Amino acid sequence: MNKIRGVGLGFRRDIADETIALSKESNPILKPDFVELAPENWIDMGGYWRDKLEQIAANFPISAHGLSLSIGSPDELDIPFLKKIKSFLNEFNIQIYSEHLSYSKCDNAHLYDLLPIPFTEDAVNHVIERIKQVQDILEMHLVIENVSYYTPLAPKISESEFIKEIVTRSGCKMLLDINNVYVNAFNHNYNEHNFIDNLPLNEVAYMHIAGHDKISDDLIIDTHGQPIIEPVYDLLNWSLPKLPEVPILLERDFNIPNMESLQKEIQQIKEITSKHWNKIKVNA
Amino acid sequence: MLKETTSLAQQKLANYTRTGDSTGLTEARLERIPQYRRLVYNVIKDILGQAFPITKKILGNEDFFNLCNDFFKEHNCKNTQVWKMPKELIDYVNDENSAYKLAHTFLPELLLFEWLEIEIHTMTNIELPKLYKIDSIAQPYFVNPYHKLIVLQHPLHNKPFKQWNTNLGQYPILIYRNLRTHKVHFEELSIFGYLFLSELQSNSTRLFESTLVNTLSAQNVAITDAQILSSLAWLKELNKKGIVFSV
Repeated sequence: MNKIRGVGLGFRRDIADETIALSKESNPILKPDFVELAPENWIDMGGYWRDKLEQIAANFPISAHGLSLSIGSPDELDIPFLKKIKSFLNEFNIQIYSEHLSYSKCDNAHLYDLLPIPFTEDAVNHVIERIKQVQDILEMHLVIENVSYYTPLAPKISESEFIKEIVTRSGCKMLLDINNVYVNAFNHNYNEHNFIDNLPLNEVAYMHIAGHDKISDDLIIDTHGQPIIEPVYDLLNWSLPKLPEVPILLERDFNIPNMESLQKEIQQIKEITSKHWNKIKVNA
Repeated sequence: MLKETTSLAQQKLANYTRTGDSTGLTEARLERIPQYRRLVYNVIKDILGQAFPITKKILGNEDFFNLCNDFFKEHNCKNTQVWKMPKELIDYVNDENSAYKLAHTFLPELLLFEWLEIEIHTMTNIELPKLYKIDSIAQPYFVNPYHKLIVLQHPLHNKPFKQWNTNLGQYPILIYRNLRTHKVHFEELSIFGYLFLSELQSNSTRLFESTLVNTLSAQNVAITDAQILSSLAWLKELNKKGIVFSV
């Protein structure tokens, strides 16, 4: 139950029972191959939700996508928290632990959202040092995600250069979030294809895809609250030939529709991946 | 090592999301930064609103959201797990200088009362001994570990809001999680019941008789046969509810 491949679905409390029930789905194209969860939402959890966690773990491989590591924070890394993460990953035999290339804690206060790290050389070095520390403690690769952001903060280098330097020099892996590329390209008026071409694509170990909300003519918010739009599917389709075969996760955190709608999105992602990676059999 | 300019820019953005003060935040798109403040506060208000629905209803949306704003602005949230963060609101309101506590004397108790339902519902599982029905006073007893005993001064569990401040007293309550269904229940207790269960947890023998003796002697009450029988009958009721067992 630990090998992550194919197309996965985020494990959310709102759809916990429906997701667990998908283990009995007979059509493989409509069934997630794995689920992803945020360890912070499950660590120390007992009772009813612990039962749900054990049920999902018994039926699907799990990947972990963290929220509170705050890898780019000026504050010290939270080592006791990291040790809890390690213990959780070990308990559920989780082989992929990803986190955001952002910061969510500052001045000893958690903010519970993802703020952009300044694209500067010193921040690159700072993050590299911390990723190495995390990897030493966890004894596994950290998989770092390109995040969506609404303003750059005191930038001195480009976003792609920032990501590439960190990934290649720290020895971590990359989570390529296709929706975030689309959102950032729109919000900051750059070419999404050029951006992807400038990333360390050989180090991509995992992908995310999601929907978003366009709230004005020049701003998209990365809400994970809508279905994936066609241009994002197109960007996935364009990107896949450049990438190693990696697991892809459908993120849906808000405004969650019925499971049939999510399964249709899973199906569409699988149809696209099967064109390029030729591993997933699509029923004609 | 981060340069001071880098960490300062990060601190200013973080501080802006909490306080709305953008002074010195020059190297960012100022027309975009309100999105971060909105997103951060959406999380805080959602989580606190879900944790404290009765408080929100009683204070009203405006006062409740003001409380959320002041809390997040003035208090450094310590918890890496956002679902545990609401507990920090209790500490914030309990501060002796809290204007909220002065304005609403029931507020610390109400927040605690609501939080305990979450805390007990989510308490980490522990390995339990084999549990039996209570049919004798000879076996050691075992209290369901997923519980809290509290004494409220305001009758917020059984009286309408308007009567809370006019009916101050001592209201002992047991809040516990059913071992099978995981549902959380509230059990009103007598002072004796509260003291007995407290004593049963701390009494190393966990035997009925010594627990009863200690409980009654603390109240300067002598044991009678009638008390033994009524206490045993009460314990059997608690056993049926999944609160106390024989082991």
